[in-house]
Amino acid sequence: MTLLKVKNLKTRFSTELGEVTAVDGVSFHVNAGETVGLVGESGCGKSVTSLSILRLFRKHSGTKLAGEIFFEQKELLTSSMEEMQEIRGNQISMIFQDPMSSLNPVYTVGNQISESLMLHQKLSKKEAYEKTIEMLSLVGIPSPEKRVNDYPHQLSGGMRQRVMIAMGLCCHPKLLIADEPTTALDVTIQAQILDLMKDLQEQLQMGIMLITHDLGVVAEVCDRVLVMYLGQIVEEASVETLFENPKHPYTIGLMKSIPTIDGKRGEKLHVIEGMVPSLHQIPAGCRFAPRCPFADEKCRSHPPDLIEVSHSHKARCWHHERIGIGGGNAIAIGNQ
Amino acid sequence: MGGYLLKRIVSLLPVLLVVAIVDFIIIHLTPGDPASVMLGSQATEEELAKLREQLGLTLPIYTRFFQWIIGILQGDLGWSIFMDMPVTEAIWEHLGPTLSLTILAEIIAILFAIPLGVMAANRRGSWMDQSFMTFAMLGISLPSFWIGLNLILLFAVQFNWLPAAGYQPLSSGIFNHLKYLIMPAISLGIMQGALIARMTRSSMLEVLNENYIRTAEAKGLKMWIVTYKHALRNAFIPILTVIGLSFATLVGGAVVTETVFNIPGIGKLIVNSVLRRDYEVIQGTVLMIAAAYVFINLIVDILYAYIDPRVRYDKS
Repeated sequence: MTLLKVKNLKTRFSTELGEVTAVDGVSFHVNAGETVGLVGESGCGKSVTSLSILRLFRKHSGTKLAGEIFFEQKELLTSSMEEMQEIRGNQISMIFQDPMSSLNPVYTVGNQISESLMLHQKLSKKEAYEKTIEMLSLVGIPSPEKRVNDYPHQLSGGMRQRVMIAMGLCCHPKLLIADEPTTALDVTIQAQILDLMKDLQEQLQMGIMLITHDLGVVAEVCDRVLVMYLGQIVEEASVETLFENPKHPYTIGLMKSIPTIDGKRGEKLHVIEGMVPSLHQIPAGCRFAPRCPFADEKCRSHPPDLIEVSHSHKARCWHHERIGIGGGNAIAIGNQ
Repeated sequence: MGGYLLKRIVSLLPVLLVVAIVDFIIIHLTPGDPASVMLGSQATEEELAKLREQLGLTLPIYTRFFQWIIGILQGDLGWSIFMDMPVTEAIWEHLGPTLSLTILAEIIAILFAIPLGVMAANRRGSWMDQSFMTFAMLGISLPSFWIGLNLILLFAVQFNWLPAAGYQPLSSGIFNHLKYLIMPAISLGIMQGALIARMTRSSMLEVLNENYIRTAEAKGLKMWIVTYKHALRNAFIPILTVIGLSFATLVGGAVVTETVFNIPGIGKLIVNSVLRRDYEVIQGTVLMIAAAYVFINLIVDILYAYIDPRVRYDKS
């Protein structure tokens, strides 16, 4: 069952240098019980896409959203603010990147979690408090009945991220949007948090949209992957297909950049040449052309479309037929 | 908290001692013979000498200082020759009107300034924000006595709704009390309110960009809960600082406004005592104002810890 369907989403910002389109015609869907990864470098529009779904932009930021976002049968971009408030935190939850700054420093974690429960589940203060302790224990926080009265600054980064997850999950959302939930954490904690999300997904049958720049995390937990570059999706495939047979030079570049355990010491790591262009100077043809080793005249002048290269595998490249990775060497799947 | 409080109170003593020394020196260095000011030009040399003796002006300055300090430690700020009563009693009498005026002005200021500042921040760049902030700028720039005089012209002279000046104590009935105080309180409140509103706006603007505000919105909370529960409390420390300072300033007596409205408060007491060279009253009042400043700042510091749990005084 399709939970979320995004069609031709465009998100524009006004800046001092003029208007920029941070997300340009993005379409995808997330099914119930499925984990979809959204991958790309910093500034490619991953987070903006996720914020656009819940319309979490401040009024004065001058953000303009276009396209369609269906959550079940409901169109989110045309919903009223009251309807959005009903969906946010209740049916669609979001976990943010930085647990250090995403919790309010002047309220206890218990207060911040129970607030959602009282609002959406109409629980009494006491019931919400008990449920909060239950949630904290579910996300693996030791002695939750004490921690519930702690302020965020009294908790470590890993604990805070668990609190964020507890907050995101307390109302049993149908869709969880997790924006780099493990980036700020130690590797051991990362694995715990990912396992926890997986377990809870099985229990609650929720869809997860996982935003990350870490391909290791993608290989570990995702069913399907979307690769974004400069505001567009450049490749979409199941996780196996993507790692075995990537069809976009950018995806290949990302995979080659992962250091491997059997690589030689002192050997230089692979880098994608050049810099991500500014949103003010988007290339005329393929957006990746200036950095692409395969680019030719056509790539530089004509922007390619996202086309189906095989069953449920799409890529945005003129040369997808002759691109691939030979023998799959030097790519570590599941490596973190 | 108890240990912190004790430490803070003990550390106030040297501050107050320095204030007392400076206060004493400045007043005694003021040129002019207090005895001749008090008795007027018709006084004979004999009368002047007698008064000087009575005022202790013949004693060396350090003796007078120590006598004053010992008096203070016993709760005695001296004797007002002119009013013929103890200085503490004179201050106490004038403190009532000033406190009433201060509290009312501060209530008016906070009641308007915080919601307006918050609204301006929430609608940053809108016509509402710009007009609020223009009014706030005007409020800061216009002298309160000018606002006061205009209020008198309008509400006392033109409409005859309120008394033009004067003061009635609370014991004469709350309505009567407020009738006399409302105009001076508004004219003082506008300026303090303008300061608080500007601080509220800028502090809120900063907080509204924080990630935890986005988290609160992502939870589906109503806009007013996000604003007043999640944002305002975080923005409140600088606002509280401004409120504390404005409160302390007003307790020190709004000299001009009290004069315009003829309110027998601390401001008027100081002006009259300076004109009469009533040394002990001036000294005592200035010391009382300094103590009030220090005390209000202490209360503000304690409130910080209640607003923001990261401010923990005991550990430091």
